Amino acid sequence: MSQNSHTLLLFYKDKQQHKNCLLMFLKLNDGDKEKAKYFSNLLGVDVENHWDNVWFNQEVSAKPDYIRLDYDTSTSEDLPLEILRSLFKNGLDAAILDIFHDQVGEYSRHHFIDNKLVNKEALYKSIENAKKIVSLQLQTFDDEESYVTVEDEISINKLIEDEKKHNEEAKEMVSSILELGKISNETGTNPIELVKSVLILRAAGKGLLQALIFGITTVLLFKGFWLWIVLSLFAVFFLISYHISQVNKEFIDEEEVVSDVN
Amino acid sequence: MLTEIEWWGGIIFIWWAFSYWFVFKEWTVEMSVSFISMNLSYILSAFVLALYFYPLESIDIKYAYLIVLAIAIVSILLMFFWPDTNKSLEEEGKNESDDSELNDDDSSDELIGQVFLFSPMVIGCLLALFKSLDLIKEIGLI
Repeated sequence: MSQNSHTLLLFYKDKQQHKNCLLMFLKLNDGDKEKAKYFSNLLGVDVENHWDNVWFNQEVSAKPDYIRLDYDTSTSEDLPLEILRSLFKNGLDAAILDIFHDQVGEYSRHHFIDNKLVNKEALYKSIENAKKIVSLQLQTFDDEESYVTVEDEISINKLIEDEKKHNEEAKEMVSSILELGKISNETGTNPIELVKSVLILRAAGKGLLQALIFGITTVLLFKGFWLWIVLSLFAVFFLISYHISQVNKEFIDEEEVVSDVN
Repeated sequence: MLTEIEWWGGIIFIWWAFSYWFVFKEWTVEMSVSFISMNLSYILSAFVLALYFYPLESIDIKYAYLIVLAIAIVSILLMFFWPDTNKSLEEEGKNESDDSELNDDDSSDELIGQVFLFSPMVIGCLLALFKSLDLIKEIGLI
């Protein structure tokens, strides 16, 4: 079975928080739930659910300037953003998350400071010895694409929001595909034909709406009522044909790709 | 009709909207002097073109119209002649290319394209210039 292997490096400047976090992970690792709960309450972070249900093959190690947590997850598991957010809220200064995606054989490395996703240079600048620790603890990638880079730093809250939105869209897409399958079963039509007719209808609607907006705006704003009415009628015809031809073109292109593959 | 704009003014405005949409979409150098002056030129030229169809009674409004027109003309000049425009990027790309025949075809196409894209704002400013001559006479500056 494929799985993703994660290595999480946590950096605390506050020694007490570092100790509490380490003890929480060590107690969870030993299966001492009560003491783990005690330290997780002290830290204000709850990782027990993830530890028991999402993560497996966990290993914890630490040095005075960092905590290292290794764990595996299923390939469908996303980044532990909620946990990172609550760790940052409660004293964490920086984190590095290395993921090996077993299915595709690729690595990705994320760098976080102050509840934000940043580039590696920003983290190395902010945390003393981080570069040295990373070179000893994690492997160096020849491929720069393995390091996740961002143009501007992105807050973890924003990443969580985006992830939620993305998941919702994915769910919607699955449900619409299922719906489509159901309708095509009931009506006995080819699902591709059904999609095409829906897209053509949508394109026609789009063209009509655009022409309507053009007509209303021009009639209201400019003199020459009949000129704009005639131009709007032309726009209806032109825009509807244009959008429908775009849909047809996409289908023809796809058919060509499919026939090339075959 | 909610405005005093004539039908031919409407046609210039639609042309203007198409060119603004196209230039904005294709502009690659963002937040530079040329980008800001491009936006300023389009917006101010539309403004002076719209006011072309209205009689400007008050002396303050006449002065304001002349100032806005002056800013619009300066923006247009900046947009065309400031060094970091799209045009200069395209020219750099062309210098690297060796095929001179293709360059000739491309440059004539590019010229037609630029005339098409930038004419509405130039027409708007020219009309406003004609109006401003009357305004200057009315104010008594000449």
